[in-house]
Amino acid sequence: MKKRSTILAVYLFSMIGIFIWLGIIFLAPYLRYHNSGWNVLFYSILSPVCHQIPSRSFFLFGYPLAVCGRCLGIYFGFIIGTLMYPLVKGLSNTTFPKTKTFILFSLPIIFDTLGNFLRIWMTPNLPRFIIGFLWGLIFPFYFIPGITDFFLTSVIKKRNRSDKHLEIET
Amino acid sequence: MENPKPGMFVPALIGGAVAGVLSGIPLLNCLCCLWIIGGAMLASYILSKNSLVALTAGDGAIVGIFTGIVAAVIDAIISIPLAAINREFIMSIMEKIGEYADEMPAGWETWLEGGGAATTFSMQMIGLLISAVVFAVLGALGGIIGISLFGKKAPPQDKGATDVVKDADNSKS
Repeated sequence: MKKRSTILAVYLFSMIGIFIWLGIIFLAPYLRYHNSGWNVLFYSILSPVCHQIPSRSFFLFGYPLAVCGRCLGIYFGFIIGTLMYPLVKGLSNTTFPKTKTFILFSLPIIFDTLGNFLRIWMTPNLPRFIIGFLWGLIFPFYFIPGITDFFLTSVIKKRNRSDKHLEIET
Repeated sequence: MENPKPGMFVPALIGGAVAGVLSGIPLLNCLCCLWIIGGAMLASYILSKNSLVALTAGDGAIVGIFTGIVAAVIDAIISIPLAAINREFIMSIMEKIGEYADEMPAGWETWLEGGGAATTFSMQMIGLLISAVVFAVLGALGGIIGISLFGKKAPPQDKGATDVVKDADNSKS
């Protein structure tokens, strides 16, 4: 029961978090379009995790989104993966996908990134988005059980510590 | 008694340094969050390699969070001298793709003029704080993936232990 409630809480927080994250991505160009100074903050929040090169980004209201097409795909993939999680694994299963599955989902992004990096080809934004989407799809299947385990282990550790204290006192 | 789980500081420092440096260098930083996830996976790999016991996903998350924080600090330090080069690199990319300008929305070329102005100390500190939080989340993800890929698998001891107890009970009766 404890495990199920923890995974449910992690699931809900992940869902809320990723929606806020996407909100920041889409609000940045909207605020810039309306000449609001807040757009700088919204773009800045995402600048450490994305190069934000306009040519590699989708545009909204005449301005680039706060992340590139590939990153946007990863985050959309994360949302869809999170939505699929209870259907695929159920909310009490904390096992990870097989290594083969991770490699399979990672191969397109590795292949595409290498090709672009070595300047063998230049992928347009839509394929970049799709490749990122595929990779992001698998992330919740690691993130949700992993963070659940993190909280469960810390609860067990705390309980063990308090048990030891009780033993010493008695 | 010796702790069979190794310390997380060194793996986090190595993974964070690799991720921070690579995500701060112009050209290489085009790989966005991949470096942070990769750095955390590296930290998990080092951690599991030095561990005598099977590690949990929670351990991966913790080492990943530390890796993300270290990476954010190193990235911030590296970005200060490299900011100008970074900007030039982006400008050169913008010039190269200028031939596709017809496909871009109007006013895209003026986009960079608005960025990079806010470089006061307080803004840098806020930026560091934000990137530490973001990198920590991505690091946690990378750490968990790393443990699932490289971590030692726990032997099915529980079942065996139960069987032994059952056998002992049977022999008494």
